[in-house]
Amino acid sequence: MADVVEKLTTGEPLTVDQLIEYLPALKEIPRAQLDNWAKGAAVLHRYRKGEIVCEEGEFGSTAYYIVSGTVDIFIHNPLAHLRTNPVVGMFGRSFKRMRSFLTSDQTDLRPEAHQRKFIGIDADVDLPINRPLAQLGPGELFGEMTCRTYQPRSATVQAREPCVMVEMLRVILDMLVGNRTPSDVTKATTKVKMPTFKGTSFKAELEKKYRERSLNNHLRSVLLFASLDDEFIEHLRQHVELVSYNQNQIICKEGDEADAFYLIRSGMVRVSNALPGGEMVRTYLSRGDYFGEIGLLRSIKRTATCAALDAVDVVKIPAADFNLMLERFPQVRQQIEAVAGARLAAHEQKTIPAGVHLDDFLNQGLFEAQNLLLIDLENCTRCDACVRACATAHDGVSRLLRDGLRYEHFLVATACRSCRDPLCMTQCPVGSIRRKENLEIIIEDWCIGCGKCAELCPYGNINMHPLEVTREVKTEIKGKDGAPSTFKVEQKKMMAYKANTCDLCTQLSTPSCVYACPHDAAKRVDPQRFFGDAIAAQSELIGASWATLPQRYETHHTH
Amino acid sequence: MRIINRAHLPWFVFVIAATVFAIWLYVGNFAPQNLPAALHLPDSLQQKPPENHRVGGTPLGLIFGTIALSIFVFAALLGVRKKVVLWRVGTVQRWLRAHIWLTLLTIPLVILHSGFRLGGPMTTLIIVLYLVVMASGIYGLVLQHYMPTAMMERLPAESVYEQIPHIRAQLVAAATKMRDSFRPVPLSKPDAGAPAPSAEKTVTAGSAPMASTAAELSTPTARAKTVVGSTITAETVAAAERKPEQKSAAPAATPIPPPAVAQTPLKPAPKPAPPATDADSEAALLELLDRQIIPYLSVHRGDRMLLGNARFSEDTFRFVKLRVTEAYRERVEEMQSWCDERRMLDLQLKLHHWLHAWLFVHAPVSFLLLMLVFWHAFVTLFKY
Repeated sequence: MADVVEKLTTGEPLTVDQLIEYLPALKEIPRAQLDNWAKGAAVLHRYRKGEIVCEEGEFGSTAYYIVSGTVDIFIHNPLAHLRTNPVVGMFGRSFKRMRSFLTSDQTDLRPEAHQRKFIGIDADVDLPINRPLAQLGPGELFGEMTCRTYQPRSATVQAREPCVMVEMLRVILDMLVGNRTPSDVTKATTKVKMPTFKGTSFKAELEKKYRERSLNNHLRSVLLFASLDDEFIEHLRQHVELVSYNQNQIICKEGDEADAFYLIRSGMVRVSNALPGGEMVRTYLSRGDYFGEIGLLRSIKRTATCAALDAVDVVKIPAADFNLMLERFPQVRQQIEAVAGARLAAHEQKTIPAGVHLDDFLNQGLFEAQNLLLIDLENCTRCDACVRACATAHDGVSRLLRDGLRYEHFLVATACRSCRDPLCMTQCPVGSIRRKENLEIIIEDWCIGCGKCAELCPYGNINMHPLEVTREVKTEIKGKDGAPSTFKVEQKKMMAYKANTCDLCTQLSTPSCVYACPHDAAKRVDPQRFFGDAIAAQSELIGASWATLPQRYETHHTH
Repeated sequence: MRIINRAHLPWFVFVIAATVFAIWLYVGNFAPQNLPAALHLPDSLQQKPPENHRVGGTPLGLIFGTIALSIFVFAALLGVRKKVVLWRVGTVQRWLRAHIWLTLLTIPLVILHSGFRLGGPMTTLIIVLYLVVMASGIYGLVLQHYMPTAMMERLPAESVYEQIPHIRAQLVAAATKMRDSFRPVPLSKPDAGAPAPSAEKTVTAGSAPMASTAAELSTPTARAKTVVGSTITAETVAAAERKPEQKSAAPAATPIPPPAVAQTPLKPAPKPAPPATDADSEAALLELLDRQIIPYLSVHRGDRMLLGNARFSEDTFRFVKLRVTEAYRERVEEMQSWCDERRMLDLQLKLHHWLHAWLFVHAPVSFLLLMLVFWHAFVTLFKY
């Protein structure tokens, strides 16, 4: 990536000496290195009260250090998910359109939606889910993940009072907290020799602040720890280790002894299983997610490999403390037992019997879906009537792309559950997209609408739906003749975006795409019934128990 | 199961029955002597045969004509129905079925309405247009019945039609990039529409062979290499997708160390290639790229080029593989896969055009026919 050009927004350029003044920890870096690398890599910003520092969802490549003043950090995209319902018009349902609107999990709880209390963002604070707002003060750093991995900004930052901030490129960040050694694969493909920085006392300072300020909340945010008393949380806070991992470094390996419980502080962790035929990525975990509890509870070996996708920081709770907690709080044990039992059962169910190829297994994943949209390629004349109908039904945004996997002579047009490696999750700055137990995608309410997942999905199965929302906008009116400026608060209509996947119009007896197909090619089917014979044959072949009882193969009545 | 399937059976029976009924009425009216006595029409339905042989003007002829006209109007409404996709007024599939069979029913109706005569110039023109419409429709129906299966079998990795130009451009870009890796100074691009090759990873001649570009292609073939799921890994995309934003950004004032994440190829990193490169092999590949592959990938009609022939292509690449050293064979295979992909895209385009081109005759001529038929009805009913 020699041609990557990072960009600082305009600000006051800082000389090396000025930079050291604002970030004294840089004194620990040899002067020659500073002169060589730090020049022009940081600027100073002065923000007035109410000024926006960065907006959620926008592209960024820098981190910010607050020198003075406090900022509000919040998410203004509505905390809701998209729901589409048919509309009954003047002529009943004969000339009906679909209407898309936003609704939250509180009013419309979806199965397997997260019961989170906090939203993890790209700073060492978490935003409460019911009111996603927090403050950051002097000495805090935000935008680290954006700076390292070019994730979109995870939240909007607004100056709460006049602020001074240093905006820095990655090189300064590396100097301060130490650079993360790239993986061997990266090294093999890049020709640029990178400077090595070991980090400064700034990192220790950050960690101290994290322990003091955020760790408590962070631990509390894990549902399992919610019932612990303050004393024990304090005990954990003192005893946990803060560990950092580099890109592609393995945190725990499938088959190893379980020795700790991990809570992710920043970065993305890839959870995968080695299967015959290749590696299957189960999911990606981000800030606020945790892993490693099954091995500890059941005293069994690790059931999956967890590796750092990029630079990852985790909170490691050693086995001894974890077990102590289980002893002291039997109700927690019960709770965890239930969760781990469910996870383990799901895991076992998904374990491939010996001799089965991964592709066959993933085909099995197709069968497990409630509904599938199939396009019969023997009938399809590629007229795209289905795609047009889908777009017309959903405010001009088509959720259907006539592309995807093929199974026999069918094209499986909604195939997100089948990716070996769910790329859509790898860049979500707030961790709002994840897989359900059946490997289908669910988009959580706190999606900020940045569109990264839609961009990354290899099949175009995720789309961004625009919705008009009313938002409060503050405009500063400067006072005349030195009088203090006032703020005008207005309600403005704006566009909010939400990521969305096809729900196969389950509210309709026949989805619009199927209704518009002139050639009996598009069908919405229940795979268990539709592929009944195929499933039976496959289960017989491999002696599997995970294929449900088949019913007769049906060629009609598919809607 | 194809377009004409069992669901069409009731329609088929209906059209046959309606045709027989219409013929019975016609013969019973105008040539009762040809009918066995048992099949004679009841007296109430009997008419006098027209003196001037103009069947169309008789009540029965008018009935045939009116029904045919109504069917034409209904058939034209299919176009409207396809535009208003959300109206729940019967599935488009049912409309199409009715369209096919009712228009087939117009064949006996029109013949009987005309009384086996062409009539004047106006009616002759109408009949000619009617023949064109019916022939193009039946031709289209046959194509739509058989071609999808052919497409499915011959195109194992089909792409969305609208994306074909983009995929072609990707292939040209990959080839140009590889050519530039052999030659330090890039030449003028053969295809102005293709995206410029990235400067990244430009390896000068004499250095180790570059890594595969396969990871950067998101073409259908690249995806279809495994039956299920994406084989593109997170690192590849994470690295590749960073490029666009950075291109728009202004260059930084001072050299900035690159981020730790760099491009990771699809497969495990290619092992460091043998240090020595082979100038002869590079020269041979350069020539092949310049003379054959890039022109083939950039040209509008690929089937007219030599590499458009699968057999020629296979022979060429087999021969080239023998001419280059072991280290370069993988790249020859990569070039071959581009050409195979291009051939498949060309085939898809061709089949797609075949599948839809008939509509460009069928639809406008139908519209013209409808207008003329209305005129014919107006003139014959109100002017005579």
